[in-house]
Amino acid sequence: MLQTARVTAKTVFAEHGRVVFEAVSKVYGSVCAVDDVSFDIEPGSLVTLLGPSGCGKTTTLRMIAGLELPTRGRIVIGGRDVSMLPATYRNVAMVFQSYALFPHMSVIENVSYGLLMSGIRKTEARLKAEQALEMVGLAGYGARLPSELSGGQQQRVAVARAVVLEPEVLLLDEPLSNLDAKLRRLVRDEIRSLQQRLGVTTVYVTHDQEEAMAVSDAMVVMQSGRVAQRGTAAGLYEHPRSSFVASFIGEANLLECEARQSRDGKWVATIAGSEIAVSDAAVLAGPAKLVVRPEALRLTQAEAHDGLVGEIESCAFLGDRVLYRINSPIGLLYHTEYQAPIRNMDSRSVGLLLDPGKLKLVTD
Amino acid sequence: MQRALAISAALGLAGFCLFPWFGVEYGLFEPDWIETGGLLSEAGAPGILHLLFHGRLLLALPFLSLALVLLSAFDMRFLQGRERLLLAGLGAALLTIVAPPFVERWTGLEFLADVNSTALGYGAMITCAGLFVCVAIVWSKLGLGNRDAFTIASIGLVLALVGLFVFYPILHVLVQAFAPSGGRGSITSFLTTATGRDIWGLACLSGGRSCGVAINSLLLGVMTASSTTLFGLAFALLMTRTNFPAKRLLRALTVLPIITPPFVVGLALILLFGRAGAVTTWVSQLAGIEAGRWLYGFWGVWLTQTLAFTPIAFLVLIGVVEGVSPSLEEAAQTLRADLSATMRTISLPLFRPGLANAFLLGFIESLADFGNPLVLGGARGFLSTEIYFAVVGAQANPARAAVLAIILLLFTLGAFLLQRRWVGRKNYATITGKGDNGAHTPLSSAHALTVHCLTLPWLALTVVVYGMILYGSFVKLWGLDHAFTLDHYREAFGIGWSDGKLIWTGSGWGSLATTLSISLIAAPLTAALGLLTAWLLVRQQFVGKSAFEFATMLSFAVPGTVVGLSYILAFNVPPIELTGTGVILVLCFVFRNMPVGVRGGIAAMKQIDHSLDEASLTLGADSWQTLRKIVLPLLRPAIVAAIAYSFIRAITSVSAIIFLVSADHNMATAYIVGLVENGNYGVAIAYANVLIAVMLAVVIAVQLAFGTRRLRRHERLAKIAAAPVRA
Repeated sequence: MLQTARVTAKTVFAEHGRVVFEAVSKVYGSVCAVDDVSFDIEPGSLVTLLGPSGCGKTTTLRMIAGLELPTRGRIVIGGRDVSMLPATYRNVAMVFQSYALFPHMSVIENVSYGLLMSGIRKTEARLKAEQALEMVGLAGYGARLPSELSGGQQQRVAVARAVVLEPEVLLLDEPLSNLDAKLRRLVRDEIRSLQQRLGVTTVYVTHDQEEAMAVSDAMVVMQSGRVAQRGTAAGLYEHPRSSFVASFIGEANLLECEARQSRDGKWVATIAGSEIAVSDAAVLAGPAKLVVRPEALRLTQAEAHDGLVGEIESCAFLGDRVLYRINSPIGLLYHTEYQAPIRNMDSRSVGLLLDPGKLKLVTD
Repeated sequence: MQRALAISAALGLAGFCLFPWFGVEYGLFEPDWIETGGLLSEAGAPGILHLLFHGRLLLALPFLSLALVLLSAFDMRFLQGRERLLLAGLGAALLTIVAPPFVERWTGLEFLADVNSTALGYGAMITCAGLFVCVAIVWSKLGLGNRDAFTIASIGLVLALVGLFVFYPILHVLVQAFAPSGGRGSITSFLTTATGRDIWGLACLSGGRSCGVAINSLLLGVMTASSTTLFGLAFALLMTRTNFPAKRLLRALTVLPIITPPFVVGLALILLFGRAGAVTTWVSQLAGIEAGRWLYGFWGVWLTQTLAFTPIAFLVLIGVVEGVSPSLEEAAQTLRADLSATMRTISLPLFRPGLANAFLLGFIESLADFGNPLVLGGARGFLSTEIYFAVVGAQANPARAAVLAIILLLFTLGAFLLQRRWVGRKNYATITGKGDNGAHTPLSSAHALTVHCLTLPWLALTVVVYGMILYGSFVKLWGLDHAFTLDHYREAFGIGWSDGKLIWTGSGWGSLATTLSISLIAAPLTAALGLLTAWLLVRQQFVGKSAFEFATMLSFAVPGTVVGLSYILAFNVPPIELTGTGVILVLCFVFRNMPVGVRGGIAAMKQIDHSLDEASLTLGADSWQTLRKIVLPLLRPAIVAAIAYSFIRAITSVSAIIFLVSADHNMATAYIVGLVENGNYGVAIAYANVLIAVMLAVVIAVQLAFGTRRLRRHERLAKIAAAPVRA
């Protein structure tokens, strides 16, 4: 008896903050915004939903919040099925893209709003709100109106308003999109360190792959309403499963090719008669895409090279690096070199060295 | 939630057990009612006694379902899994109360003979309200859609009210129009009346005496719409494309039609151009022509409407004319078009949707206008006045009134549909939110001359008209004795002392008090219902929403005369008996002016970012708390505007309420119309001045208090240098 009770308590504890999507779809009229999406978010981790606009990432986030209810499928938060539970009754807090600070309330009123709505007494709510403001570095700003704060300060108020509720899950909808470029990196790091300090499960929506790679424990890449691939930043970069993921995460040249597995099990990509050895493949034999990232390609002197030779169409000097546009027999290649250009620019022909260990074959 | 359920079930039961189920002739606290037995008599019995002692067994259903809800509110486990069953029970209970009277009324079947003859009373109403809230709460527990009890209750409430007080009465007009008469079937009797020569006659076009009323109204509508659109455009151009010095005055012009009771311009024109009018006498003396009666007819009404409705066209067109991006006109000029060519080839085509819009609005206003045709119509009838005379006149022919009402309704609805379908989509106004540099091109000199020639005489005439309204109230007898007097004011609003007590000796006090109190009751209700509807339309999704929105806006186009007629037809008989009460006046104002609140609310709510509501919801507030704490505070200017505007519209309304006033509840406008009909112009104008003064005070007060949106309460804080915080 005692044993069972302990086990139950333990499972409940382990489930706290876990977000599970089971085959969730959201249909508006005839448009399927989210299509059969499943994932499992570990308690205490920060997971980004990444994808181009219209890929369903925001709809997914809003379904976690309860602002949209799924058409099909099950959403489980903390071991409890909340699929049909409206936002009001979910233990989830959200930071909106526009911050959505109530313009007619002062900063402290904004931050204590959720506490008062949960039935906490006024004095206690105020105390907690002040602590939350202090946590985001805005102590003493309580009496101001949101319109009297800078963009970055407003963003912190929005974060304080969400975390003061000690939610099971914190949702961030493109939280940096209204900040200027310099501020973004700073706020990004602050959000990450706050999240780790609080240990709160966080779902972070963004379309910026660099931002996503910098903050998250895991990433879910979405494409037209479906999950394209999920994994860690390194995993997605090194082992993309589709050309979409390969091009969305990091820089890559995608070349049309014919994939073939030789008798000894090694993969070979054939482009316009050239055969290129590839060590990593996530395809079946047939038409595929060859992923050539900058680190997989090296340029050499054309004269001393007996492999592929390309023609430099243009090059741009960008300070710490040089960007080349190279016309080659296997297709157009964009390439970044971080070493100073040592080549003789008059000679427009360059040798192309491909590192088979860093090339990947993916499906289209 | 549990508590709310218990309270509403208890409320329903209280209504069932403690209040008279059927309508009681005179209030609950009248000694007559109590003497005849009060709650213990059969007529005054509450539902529970009807159920137990008077054999009305159908009433068991409301009682049982409410009792069940009350029980389950104390122990939620009872409800678990049985929500659907309970919901069905509650719904059925609601139907057993509401449906029989209506069904019997419409079908003539008497399956509950005893319920038929009497109107539903307080008991039935309270029980219905309790049942209704219970339905909403239980429904929200079912978790269908993302809605809580408040949202479900609001949707149900608004739908029920609009259905009952907008569409149900109009249904009565239809029924009345198709009522069989004189041994003819319903269709034939409708067609006989509807195709009569007195309605569609074209004699006036071929030199005969007069046309049918429908033709008159159509011609008047087209003429008024054309002239108001032309003048409106001229004023809009004067405002934006010239250096006219008194532009603020033009803005003030737009307030005039809001605060002027609809027949006042007509009244002033009588003082100027009537038989004893100032201009008429002057001209007849000068030229020796006998004073004519031309004002009392088609052309008089047209002139009056042109003066009265041009500001409305101006209001529509100023937005359009300002909205066209100056860079388009500047582009035309860089492409070698001169000023007049730019106007002809670029600006005017871009104004076209706005012009059509102004035209259709003018058409609807002209057809719906009742006060001016009544004051000036003379021998020539128009649809709106004919409906009135068909009801109150010696002929007293409600069937004819209903047929005319349907024709009028078809005209205005047609214009409204045209406006929505055809004009609504085309809009070239280029308001992008980006700063658009450049100034509007000035008019070419020929165009500028035309514009000034149109607007200046109109302005002069308007100044004279309003001067007349003021002056006319202070002279003894217009046209004969122009000595200064306060008699008219004394007659209407005299105050006397008797035995040390204040006595309201003036004849107008009664109707003024009624008008102000009824308008004061109606205004906040109108604003509340309008804003609630706007909130549902902007922020909620439900089945049939677009149809509902369309229907709400459609009620804009229902002329007041038709509304008045429909109300006396619908609410003169059970199950809802309201004629002769103040309640019917309040209801009439609320549902007639509701679209104003809806429009204002929609416009204001669309400016509030949806994510504010969502933020509140994710912070644990439900939709009622969100509405109260977030949306309403931000809407405060719109709320005040809606209340003020419905107050003013209630005061100036005449067409609808002229059917609904009674000896106990007379309204100012109806009283003034009576004065005019008796030729008592002096007092009528004095009274109208008092009304205008009241409304002007309201407008100015609102403008001063809420002219600017105040979201920065703590301006002073902005001046304190921001503390050095890393941002």
